[in-house]
Amino acid sequence: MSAPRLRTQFQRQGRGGADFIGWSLWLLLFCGICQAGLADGAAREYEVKAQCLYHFAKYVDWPTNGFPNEGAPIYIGVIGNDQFAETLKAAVIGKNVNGHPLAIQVVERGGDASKCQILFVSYTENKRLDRILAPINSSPVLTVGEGNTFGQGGGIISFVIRNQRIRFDIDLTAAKRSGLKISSKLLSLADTVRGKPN
Amino acid sequence: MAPDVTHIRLKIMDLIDDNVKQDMHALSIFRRLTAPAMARTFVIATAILVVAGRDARASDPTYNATNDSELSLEQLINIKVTSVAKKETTIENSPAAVTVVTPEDIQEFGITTLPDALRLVPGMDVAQINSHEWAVSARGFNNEFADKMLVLIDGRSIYTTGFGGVIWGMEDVVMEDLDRIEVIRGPGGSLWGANALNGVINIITKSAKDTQGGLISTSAGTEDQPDVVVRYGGELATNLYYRVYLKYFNREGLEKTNGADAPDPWSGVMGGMRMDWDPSIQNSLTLQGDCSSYQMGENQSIPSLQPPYAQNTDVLDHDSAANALGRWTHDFSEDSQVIVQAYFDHYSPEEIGVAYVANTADLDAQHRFALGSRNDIVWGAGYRYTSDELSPSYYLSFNPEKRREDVYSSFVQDEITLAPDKLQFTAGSKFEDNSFTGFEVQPSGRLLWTPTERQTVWSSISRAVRTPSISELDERVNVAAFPPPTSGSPSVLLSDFGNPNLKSENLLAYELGYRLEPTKRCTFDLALFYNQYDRLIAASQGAAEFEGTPTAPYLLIPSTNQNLGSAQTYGVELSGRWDATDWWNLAASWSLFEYHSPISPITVPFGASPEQQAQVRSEMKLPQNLQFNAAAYYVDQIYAPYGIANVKIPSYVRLDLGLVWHPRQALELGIWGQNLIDGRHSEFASYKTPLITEIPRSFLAKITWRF
Repeated sequence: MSAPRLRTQFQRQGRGGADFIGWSLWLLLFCGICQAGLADGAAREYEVKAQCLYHFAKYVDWPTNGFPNEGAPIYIGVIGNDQFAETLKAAVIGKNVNGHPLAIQVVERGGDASKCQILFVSYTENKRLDRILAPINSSPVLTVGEGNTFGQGGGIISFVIRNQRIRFDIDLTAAKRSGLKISSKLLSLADTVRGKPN
Repeated sequence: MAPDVTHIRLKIMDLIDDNVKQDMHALSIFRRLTAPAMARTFVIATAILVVAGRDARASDPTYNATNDSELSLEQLINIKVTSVAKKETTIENSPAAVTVVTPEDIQEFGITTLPDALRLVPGMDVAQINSHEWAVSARGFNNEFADKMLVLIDGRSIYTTGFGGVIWGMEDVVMEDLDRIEVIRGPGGSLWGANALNGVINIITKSAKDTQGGLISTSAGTEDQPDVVVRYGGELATNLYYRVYLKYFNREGLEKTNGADAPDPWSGVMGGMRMDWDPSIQNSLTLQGDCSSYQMGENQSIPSLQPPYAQNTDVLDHDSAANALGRWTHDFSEDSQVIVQAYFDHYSPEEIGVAYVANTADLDAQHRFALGSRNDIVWGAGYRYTSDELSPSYYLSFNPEKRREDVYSSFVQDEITLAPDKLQFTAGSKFEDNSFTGFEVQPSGRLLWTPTERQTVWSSISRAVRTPSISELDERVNVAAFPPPTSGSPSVLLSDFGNPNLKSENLLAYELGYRLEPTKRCTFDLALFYNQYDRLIAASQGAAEFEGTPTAPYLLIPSTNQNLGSAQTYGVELSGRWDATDWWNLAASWSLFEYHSPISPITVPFGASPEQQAQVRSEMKLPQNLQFNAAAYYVDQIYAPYGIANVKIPSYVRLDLGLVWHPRQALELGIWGQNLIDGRHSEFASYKTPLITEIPRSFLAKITWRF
């Protein structure tokens, strides 16, 4: 509190020179770091996830009642992340899986997801998984979510980031309950598979 | 709150598994805001941004290039990714010198006070003055009222506008309910506002959700009389959690240099509650409040114009405080969030005969959102009202005795991803209008480069200011009285006077940091800084005059506070951690601090800080649920401010050993020996008394039961 005591008169230091040197050094450093940092880039999480969803569609067999008719689109529902819906649209537009075109549908909270063949659930919804998953529990919907919580909450495929890479876990019990068959190829790529195949 | 705790992104958790979001930080390029400097800065910054941004876009899509060729799933799951949403920032990738003290650290070393917990932070200078007073600061200018560190508890500022700095004897929490203490060394003005020149300390308690059930803890030792903590947490309704607590402690005084008891007993009682409610996934609400009352003994030396010209008395100060805080967080989406926080704080310490009462009301709001995929923007605004009342004593009086301060503030910060997972630039500034010094701008710029997974380089430039304390504006301190120099002449009184026209103290800081994680079990952290301070407030001596005429005239030698000081400081802070085995962890740090000022070094006008500090800590898990912990601290000598001069405090080594035993999950027993090497040592001096207090060797035992 009490002000520092200072009995000597002194003058403010002229600092023009120090100023300039400080500035220049910082600027140099700044540019150096920019240069080095820009040398490389890394892929984006959600672009990879979008591509993965397309592949999942190829490795999953829906029961015949899974589609209203032959050539009907595979609807990928997205809940909780509208931006991802856009990324996904860009990634799968014009693509077909076994004669089914892929289509994206944004699902609102509390909306009906049972018409979707795949439902992507953002991690933001992990606290209310019950309300999302329970109504489609036994419908042929491949549920894909983020984090371990999703698998524990009854989801089928959970994306997890391990070692800065996007990996996934599969819960076969949940898949069976939905009447979905997951190819052994996909199972072999999963980090962990819970439940027994058939 | 503005830059509130939720704002510091220091998450050490997996982004996906945990969607708690937090943020941190800022850039600047403006220095003193002279027009040419500002223009120069702005032009350079803009140019770099434009160039960097363009390059980044050009070089980034390594991924898009392969987009059409359709990667197989095998390839996809082996691509290294970076999260665009950037919800989490770990310490490893925050562009500042950040250290987190965890509740485990505190529990392992038997730490009972907040300042002692801060000793664990590399480069932090913690010096105990007596049982209840500490000087705590990073990067120099340490003093009992170290006025260049901003400290917040759960987003509530505990920095006093009355004296500047923190009265640590009035600040306490239930250590078991502490979530973490985040310490940022270096300026935080662009987010936190004024007075965060040398650092920001965020003391954060756990959510009521994480403190469910009961806890009873009691400890006793050679310095601590039995102290008791009782806490209970429960669930009132779905997702509505609460806790209530009561804490009492009573500490004996420390020792005089001759080993006798010092007159500084310290006791306190505090109680409080916290409620956390998540009415929906998008909303969360926190309400909390505490009240506390303390008694602190100390020796005071009050100058007197009659012989013996100073009256030494042992007094007992009564301090009290209360606060209530509410915070609402709303998530619009994963990229967009609003936080609104309001608090009221009542604060009433007694200092050297002055009864000080401050009432503060604070309202803050902030909004963060993603702008495109590369910009993460946080902006906010706040208002703080403080009324202060200081009733005078002979030593210290105020003109006027009542003050009101209004602070209007706003801030904006953009975290720009120049190259995903590689390079990030954060620019931001705080804009503040306060009743004392008017409009203040505190910009900062920070660059973070992650060349490899195991290395991080960061650099920053920031401006920060400290607004004068009410003491500095309005005080009259009768510092010392002297007998007549010759018989027949009058006695002499030295007094410091406040100056209502003071401007803010000003800092321009340059920082550079490097972090390395050579293996999963080993980390190194290096921070370098160079600080330029100007307009530092110091008392400048005026012409002597007679006062007290005609009855009892004496010669008054007045000094007036002025923005005359300047200083340059620089330093190095190096720390490392090595998890040698699963049962043995080691941590060490070393710091160097240099101070230059055009003032004669003998006067030590702006506080005192050791040139070098070092510490080594070992945490060892033993069989039978035992844990053995050891910590050694080295602190260099200092010349502590002492009356109107200074006193040499020799360097010291402090050794703490502790044994913690968990006979059952819910039961914890610990014994610690603290300051084991020397019988006792001093760490600082008091401005109030010539009495130097020493910290003796002490032992502490503690039992904690959770149910």
